[in-house]
Amino acid sequence: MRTTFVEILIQRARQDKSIQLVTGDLGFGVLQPFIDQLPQQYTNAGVAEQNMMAMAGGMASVGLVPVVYSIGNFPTLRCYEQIRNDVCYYNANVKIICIGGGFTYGALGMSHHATEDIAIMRALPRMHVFTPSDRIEARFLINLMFDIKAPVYLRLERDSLIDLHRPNYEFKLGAPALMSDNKAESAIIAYGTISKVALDVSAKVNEQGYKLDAYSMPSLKPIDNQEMIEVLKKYKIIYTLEEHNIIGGLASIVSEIIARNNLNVRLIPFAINDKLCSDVGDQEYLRKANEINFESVYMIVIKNSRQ
Amino acid sequence: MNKSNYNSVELAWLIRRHGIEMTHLSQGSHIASVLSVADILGVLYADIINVYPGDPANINRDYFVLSKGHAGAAIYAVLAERGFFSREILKSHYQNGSKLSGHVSHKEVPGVDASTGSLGHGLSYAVGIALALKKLGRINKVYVILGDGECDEGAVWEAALMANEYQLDNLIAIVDRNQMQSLDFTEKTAKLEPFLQKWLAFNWQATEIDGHDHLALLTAMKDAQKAYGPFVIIADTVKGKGVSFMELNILWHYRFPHAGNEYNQALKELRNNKPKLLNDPYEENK
Repeated sequence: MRTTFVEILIQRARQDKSIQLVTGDLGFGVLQPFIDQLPQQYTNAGVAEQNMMAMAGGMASVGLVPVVYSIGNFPTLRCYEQIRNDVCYYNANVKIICIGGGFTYGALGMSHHATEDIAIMRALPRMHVFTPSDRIEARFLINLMFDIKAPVYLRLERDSLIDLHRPNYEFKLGAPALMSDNKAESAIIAYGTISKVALDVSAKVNEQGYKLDAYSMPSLKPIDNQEMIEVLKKYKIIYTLEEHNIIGGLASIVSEIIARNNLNVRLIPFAINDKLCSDVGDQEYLRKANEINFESVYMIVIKNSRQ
Repeated sequence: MNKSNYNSVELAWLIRRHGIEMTHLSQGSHIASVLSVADILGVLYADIINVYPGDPANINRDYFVLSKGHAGAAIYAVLAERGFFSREILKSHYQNGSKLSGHVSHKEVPGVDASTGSLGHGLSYAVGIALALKKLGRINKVYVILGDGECDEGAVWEAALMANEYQLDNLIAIVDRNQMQSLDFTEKTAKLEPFLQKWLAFNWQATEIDGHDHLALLTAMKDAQKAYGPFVIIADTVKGKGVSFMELNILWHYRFPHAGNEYNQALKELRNNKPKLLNDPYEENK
């Protein structure tokens, strides 16, 4: 996804000279092709995220399109008020790119786990929240991000070579995107590379003779309420799966829609159980420690399927 | 450049006069901050900044950020007197349904480039504007006024670091150095001194002047326009300047001039210093 991002960024920045890459002193190697090819459209803002984000707001006010690049919590939690006051209040055309959503940088430790970002970013008026699960979604969302003249938060993880959708899949903004067949009584919805776990669980459950559909959520804000209702209505049980705290993410979004629309569907969320993780390990290890990995999810889903 | 109808002394007096009236009517805070920054804004808007009151978004304009957004009444007053909107609108400051919030907002207020109020944002925002202007090859200047208490904020120094890195010779910062912050004197809260040296150490060009001396302000701002990098003017001011009982008294960071003695005495003192050819706008309307 990171490679897809840099590819499309270079393409778009060649066509649109107002695009400015602003990095918080991160992206060693990855950003080098951009820096080499478009040095006039590149700024290193140093290790100073509050200044970087307010500066991006100022740049946007003169007509540039800052694409602010950093990792983990640095472009979100660290400079949250600057995003609110200096970007969102102006509806400024600023793109915020987080590399390392969830446990991408797991072994680096708690400081580098971005596990509350969705909750706080979707709480901001005017902010879009994009959460690609594979390269196909990433391509769609990154292009869309540049077409939208408003703040966008793009949550990327490291490169995943596993694509979960057909290359020509037609995404609808704010709607779940089907990854499996569409035939079951329960469904699992996920976002980010953990969507692969959702798809694998669906495949294994179906193999066992039960039925589980699997969806990804390319965009968590805006949400297309009507599309969501149409999907949720089809099922008796909805599982959500996310590499994020249980508060404020997809589980919250789905609960809100169920509650507001009085839908007769049971929600079973898989998420980080409101904790900051001190376990040391890679993304897969930390998913397991937080019971959001394949085995943990499969065990519960198959148990429910048998009932 | 569009000329101001008033010279800097007149403009500064009008800012103070409106400030007293606006905070009196709205029962709003921060009159002492309005009084301390009045001369800086008077000189800036009479003689320095290039603005187009009839065409506020003109791309040739200079940009202005009032980072100490709590002195909002002062910028609203100066914009009204420069003809961006009518004086009448000033009376709506703080009122329900008004466009003029206590802290500066750009929404539907012509002439305001930046919304502020949370301290420590304005210099960074101004750095962004200045950097963008340079990238676009434009020659506009960016003026930003900071409070001294605001310089407790780490983000101010992040911005100071980066303004030097980007060699922003189009960025002019003025610190309203009135020595007071929300609860006490700056030097009793988080010592800023040696303050000028801090900016010099960040490789800014810096000068310290009397922030109520119009000639000194004018000279410093003209020097700043010719600088080869970011320039800061430390303007030594008196918080509450112009109304004796408001001067150097932290109470007037919060209190509004109440009807009766406070309001009458404040007006009396202001009127004693009124430039001769200038009419008091609130007298005219009577």
